[in-house]
Amino acid sequence: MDRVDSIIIGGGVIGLAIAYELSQRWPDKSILLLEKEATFGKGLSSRTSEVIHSGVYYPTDSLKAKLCVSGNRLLYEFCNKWKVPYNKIGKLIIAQDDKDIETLEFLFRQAVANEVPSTRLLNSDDITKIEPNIKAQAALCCPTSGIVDSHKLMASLAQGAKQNGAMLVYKQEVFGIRMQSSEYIIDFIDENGDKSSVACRALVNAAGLTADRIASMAGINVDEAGYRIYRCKGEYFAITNRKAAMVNNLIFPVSIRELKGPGIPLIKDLKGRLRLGPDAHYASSTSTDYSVQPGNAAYFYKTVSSYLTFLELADLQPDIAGLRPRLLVPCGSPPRDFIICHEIERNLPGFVNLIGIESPGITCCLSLARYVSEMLEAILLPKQECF
Amino acid sequence: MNICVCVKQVPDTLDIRLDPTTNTLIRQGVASIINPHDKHALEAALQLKEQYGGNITVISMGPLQAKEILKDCLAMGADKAILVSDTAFVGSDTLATSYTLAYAIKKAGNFDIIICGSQSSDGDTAQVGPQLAEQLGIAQITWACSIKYDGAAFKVTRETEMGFEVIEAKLPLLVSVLKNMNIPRYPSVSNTIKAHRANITVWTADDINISCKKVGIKGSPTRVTRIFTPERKGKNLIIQKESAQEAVELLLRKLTEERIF
Repeated sequence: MDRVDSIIIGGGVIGLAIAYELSQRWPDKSILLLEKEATFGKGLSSRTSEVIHSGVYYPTDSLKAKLCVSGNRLLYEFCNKWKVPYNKIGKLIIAQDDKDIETLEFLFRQAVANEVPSTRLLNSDDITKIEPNIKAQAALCCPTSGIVDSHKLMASLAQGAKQNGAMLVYKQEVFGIRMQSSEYIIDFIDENGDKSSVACRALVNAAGLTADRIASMAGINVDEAGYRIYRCKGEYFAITNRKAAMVNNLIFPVSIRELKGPGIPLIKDLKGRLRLGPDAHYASSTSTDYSVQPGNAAYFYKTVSSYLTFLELADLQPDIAGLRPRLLVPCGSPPRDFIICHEIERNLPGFVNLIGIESPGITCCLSLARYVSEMLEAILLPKQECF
Repeated sequence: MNICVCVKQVPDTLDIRLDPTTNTLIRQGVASIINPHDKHALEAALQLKEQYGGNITVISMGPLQAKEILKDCLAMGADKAILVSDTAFVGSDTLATSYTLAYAIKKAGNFDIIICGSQSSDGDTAQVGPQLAEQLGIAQITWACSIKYDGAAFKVTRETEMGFEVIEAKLPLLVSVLKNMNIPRYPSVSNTIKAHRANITVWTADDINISCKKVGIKGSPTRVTRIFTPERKGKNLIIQKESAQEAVELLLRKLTEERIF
């Protein structure tokens, strides 16, 4: 049986960033990434807003807040180094009434506590100067937010990982994980239906929508562990091009659908197109339905028309849909924090689970990869003979 | 069957960008890949090996970074990889390249068949394969879409603008293959791990005993006077109307005005 030092399951932005980080940190270690699809980024990583978040929305001390703020900086550095297209256009989080303003002030305090750089509150006059076509009483300006070419980002991470010596192998679906002595035996099936196994000391589960299934293969009871993933579908609608120039920044309402609020963000993408989305509703646990229901345009329109007064229903065209891995929370609560767990307490040393890595996953990819590599240092660094 | 496959490292085709001032390729941040046509050549070799047994040697001429694509070839299932690399080769045209490859192939062994992709995605000349056959003094069949072997001779189907030609040829033979010949396989985990640990043999100009006057810019009669991004002459028109009827009417009117319809 073949043996490597480390295996990463999943070739989305997170798996690629981890392959890049591990191979950069330890070029002498053998790092293998297994992806079930024909290439990288075929799952949720390719179906997002492509927003680089600043880290305002997430509770202080949460992993999301910490990794988002540090990841934001690392991501811009990476994009500069690898010539990944991005636009640091900034984000306005807008409030429309007194209740919204209270939330906005809370977000501002949270932004300061999270050490998000350069955020500032704007009044309606300030907003009019920046965004004359947006109706809002107040806003929180987040200049470190932006938008990134997520495909080029993943292609660069894959290229960098390969150059560092990481092995990225596609069309390999993992179906079993066994622990034997102090190593993991990973069973997988290839495109021809042939089954094989490979052994490793360090194992990272970055399987996105199917991360709970991978965790359960190692014997973890996902319900007891709180790892059960629920697929949450988010649709996007594009806005007719002639109105695209009417907005300059990313516009996010104080409470967005993604975080159990009522609002829907307005995204200005790299090509200057405007998109609305995502909304959020649960899909079945096996759903791969990426269709967009044209009829939902009316709901989108109704939701955003109070702050995007220049819009008309006919301006909305169906765009893309994505599925996000969501963890169960009590009704009405915001989504849970990322689960990034080195399973030492479950007696699975060297096994790191990444569960519920949804937004702001792209922003966090490099900081999260560093976090995981630090977890694995004790496993990979001891002076054992490299396989 | 002793098989040789020639491969080239090319910039990822989706990523090709030209510097508008110098008209040269911007290579920074551009991924390098196996020339997509060459993957089909390797797949053809792998299928021949599966049917008739033998060994596959992949050879590339290029910078040392081309070791990466040779490792990709080993991961797909090639047995051995050789990189021919020397600063003397910089600026080689197709003639100098085929001359260099011919010497490398002669040194690498006696091959029954040499398989090339029909052309590279960057240069797009389709010259190196045929020139290589001439340099080696062996028969060649281009634009192949199928290769069969009966134990003594190859039967190759080639696709032409007029239809298909079936040609028989004895060994040794050079075949350049089309992309529609097969679907290249994905590398297996086991082969990828083997490739990761493999040492790629590197031969310099001295190793293959060639005349430095016949390689590089000196040995290349071709002169590229200019590479440029073609000017966009056409204008696009986006028709956005309230109703499909109005949009269709406007489209028809425009097509008629432009005498397209």
